[in-house]
Amino acid sequence: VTETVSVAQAAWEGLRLVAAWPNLLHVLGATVLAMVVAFLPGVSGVTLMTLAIPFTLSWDPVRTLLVFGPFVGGATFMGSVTAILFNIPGAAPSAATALDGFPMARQGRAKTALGCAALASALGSSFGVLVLILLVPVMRPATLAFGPPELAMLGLWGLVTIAAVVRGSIVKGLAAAGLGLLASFVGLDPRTGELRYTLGLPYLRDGLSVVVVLLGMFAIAEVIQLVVDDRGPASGGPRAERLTGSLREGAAAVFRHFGLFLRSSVLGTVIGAIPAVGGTVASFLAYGHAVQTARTGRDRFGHGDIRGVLAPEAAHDAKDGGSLIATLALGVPGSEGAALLLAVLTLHGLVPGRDLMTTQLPLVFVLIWSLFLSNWITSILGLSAASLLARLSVLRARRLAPLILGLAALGAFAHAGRIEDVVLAMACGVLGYYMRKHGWPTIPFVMALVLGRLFETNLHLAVRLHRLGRAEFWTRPIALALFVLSVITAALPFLRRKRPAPGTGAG
Amino acid sequence: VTRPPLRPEPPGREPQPAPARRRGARVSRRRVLGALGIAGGALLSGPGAWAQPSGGSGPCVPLAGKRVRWIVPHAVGGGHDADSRLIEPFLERRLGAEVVVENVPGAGGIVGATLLRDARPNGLTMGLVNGPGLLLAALTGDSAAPNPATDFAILGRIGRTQHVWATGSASPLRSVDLLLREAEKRAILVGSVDVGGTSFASVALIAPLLGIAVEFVAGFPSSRSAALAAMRGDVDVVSFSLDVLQPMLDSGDLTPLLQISARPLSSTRVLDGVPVLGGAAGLAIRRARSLKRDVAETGADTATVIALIGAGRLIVAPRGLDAGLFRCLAQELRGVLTDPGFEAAARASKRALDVADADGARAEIELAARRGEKFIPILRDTIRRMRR
Repeated sequence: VTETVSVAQAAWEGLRLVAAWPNLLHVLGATVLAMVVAFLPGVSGVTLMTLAIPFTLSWDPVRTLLVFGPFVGGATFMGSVTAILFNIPGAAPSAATALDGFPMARQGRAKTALGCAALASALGSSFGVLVLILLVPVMRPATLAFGPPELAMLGLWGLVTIAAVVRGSIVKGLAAAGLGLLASFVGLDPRTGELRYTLGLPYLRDGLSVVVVLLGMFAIAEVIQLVVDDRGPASGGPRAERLTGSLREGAAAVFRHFGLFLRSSVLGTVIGAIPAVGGTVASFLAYGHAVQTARTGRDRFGHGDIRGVLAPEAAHDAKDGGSLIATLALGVPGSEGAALLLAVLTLHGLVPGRDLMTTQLPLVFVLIWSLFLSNWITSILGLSAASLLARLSVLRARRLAPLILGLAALGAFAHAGRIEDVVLAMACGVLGYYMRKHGWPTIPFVMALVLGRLFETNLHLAVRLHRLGRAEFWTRPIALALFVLSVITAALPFLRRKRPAPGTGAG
Repeated sequence: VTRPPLRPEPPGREPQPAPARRRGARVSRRRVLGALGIAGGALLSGPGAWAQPSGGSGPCVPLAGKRVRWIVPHAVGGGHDADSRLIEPFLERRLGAEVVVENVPGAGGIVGATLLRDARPNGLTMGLVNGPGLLLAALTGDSAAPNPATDFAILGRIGRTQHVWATGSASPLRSVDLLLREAEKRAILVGSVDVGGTSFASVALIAPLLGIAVEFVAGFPSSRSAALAAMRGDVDVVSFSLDVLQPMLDSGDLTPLLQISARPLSSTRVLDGVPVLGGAAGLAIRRARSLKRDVAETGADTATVIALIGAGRLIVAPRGLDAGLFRCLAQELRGVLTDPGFEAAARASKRALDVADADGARAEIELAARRGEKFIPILRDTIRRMRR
């Protein structure tokens, strides 16, 4: 394609290319492959992409993009399946889904949680893709609009929402958040390059890996709990014949809380469009937002509230559309997967930027539609297997504990190939277990860890740019809006206290 | 693809396929990646690549049938990883050994490089390290960083780290002349990822040579985030490797200002007409003349800085290799790097080569380390100012 075509024509042409025989088979095959990989903790589509790159050199660009759509973000729902069933996040963003998804499985409502996650994931992804299509003409300014002041304020807003997710002792909750912030400071000081809290270990120079910490705090802590409690089913819930809940109930929850779904999807898309922020921040911010804005039953969060499954799933999958914005429009990848996508595009002579977004737009749409289809295929296939998967949650704990431990250790090792990561995951597992045992909430800890680095790095940059006269905070509307949002979020609990809550029971 | 004059491999020496895998050997992600890398290499080099006779003759016989760990101190998907997976199938066939690429990222390459340095020098552990990154870390006093000039047996160089100064396409500083003129009025703002790394040094050491003042805005989470800051106009200049900047230069989002090299970096058209720092007609010499500085000294200093920044991606093994083993490995690697099939594979993968044999690579890094010490106080001063 050599001439500039309109967005609508390009979208149609892209759809026609995807639907042409046997192109749909490529999407299906790549999706199934991505689903299998996404099911394994710590291993992601990035691994598949690395493996696939040598093969794609002899392929035409259309076939390559058809396959890379599912790899770059098409099967993320599968990572949530293990999060819901066993408290093992298949990828870091799925950890937020586990916060309420796993308690639901323990209550025998795994199918409900899976149904909700599958539909929220597919619809969230569709939302992201829709926004991507609508924003094609303004992709570049949209991505460039987020500089250090905006990102610092986004981080601040995320940190403020932590107050909303604290359960039980407010002192313990805030102390856990403080510990999480401290943990986020481990490694190189972004401003000066000095080492902080590394104990002289080169391993700690890059800071604590969020993926590894989450595997420890969730999966390994769960294994310890299983072994200590010596309970029957791994989920701690009822036996198979007593499984309650249904896929329909879970799917219906997406429409019952459609406002939350939309807000979470918008949040995911916006965060996806910002390079180097990522799905983990999107998921946890959406979770915090869900708790913060819940009018009823806020105490149910963390104990099996379906809104705690819906919000992170929608945000996580909507993020993929957004992250393509930065990669395709500016050649700036928003994630490791997007970086590999960029490498493949370059190898095929496709240069991200103006040309790709104008003269080669149909190829961009091949990628978009492939991603879109892949998310729906994943949800449909995942849902088909949901009944079977839900029964896994009632297997005997003693049989599953070694398997979960092995998978978590493998996931930690596969993340970067370092044995130290396995040790860190184990240490975090022990920490997570004791925190739970003594009533210290783990959610504020992990949220502060995820958001702390984003906030600190960008705060330093924003202050430095301000001092050098390059970033006037008061003249940046997005930064100001996020600051105002943070103030409102912080003030909400005090405003709510003045009027009694109308009751509980949502979800 | 550029290649300095190396003697080609004598005819008659044929690469050999890897031996069959041991039964029951551990199957890991790396192993799968390695296997796929071989497949990728075979795809790149065409059907003839598998038709080479097998064997295991020559001085590397002790390695035949063994498993060689190839350590990459950086993450999957980066330049060092891509280069390593390019080398892997060719080296396997030459050694008759199983070469397994292992990514050991962390601490800017220090974790993997330390593992390489501390491995047993028996030829079963090799790898590809970032020469300038390690050298700068070692020279500026990072006690954890291995010194590539003294801590390894250097077996060759696959390419150089080619840096370019660039600015946003909307910036008024559209050329290096405009930048120099602006620098007479104020300090130039430079976006940087870390403090003390190669990209940081590529500005901190070159700015004094050009007689300009710079202010760093350090701490961007990635090179691409810093490049975005240049596009937005938050900073005036970024300096990163051509690998990183190429997509943004190609798309016109960034404007190249200066090639940190003694000769044009690449055949890429986007750098046509962009001034080169070094060489007799380079910007540093022209600037020295206009500032009435010692031209000869400036020329020598510029050459040293370019050597320091562009020390390249070095193929190394632990120090203490048996002399025969060292010679054989160096010879086989030279054979790989000059193999037309390998060069074709590199071209297909768009990897820029600038190869050197063991002697050439070692001589350059030792010279860079020796002469580079003169510039370390400048670097340390800049870092100290950043930390104040």
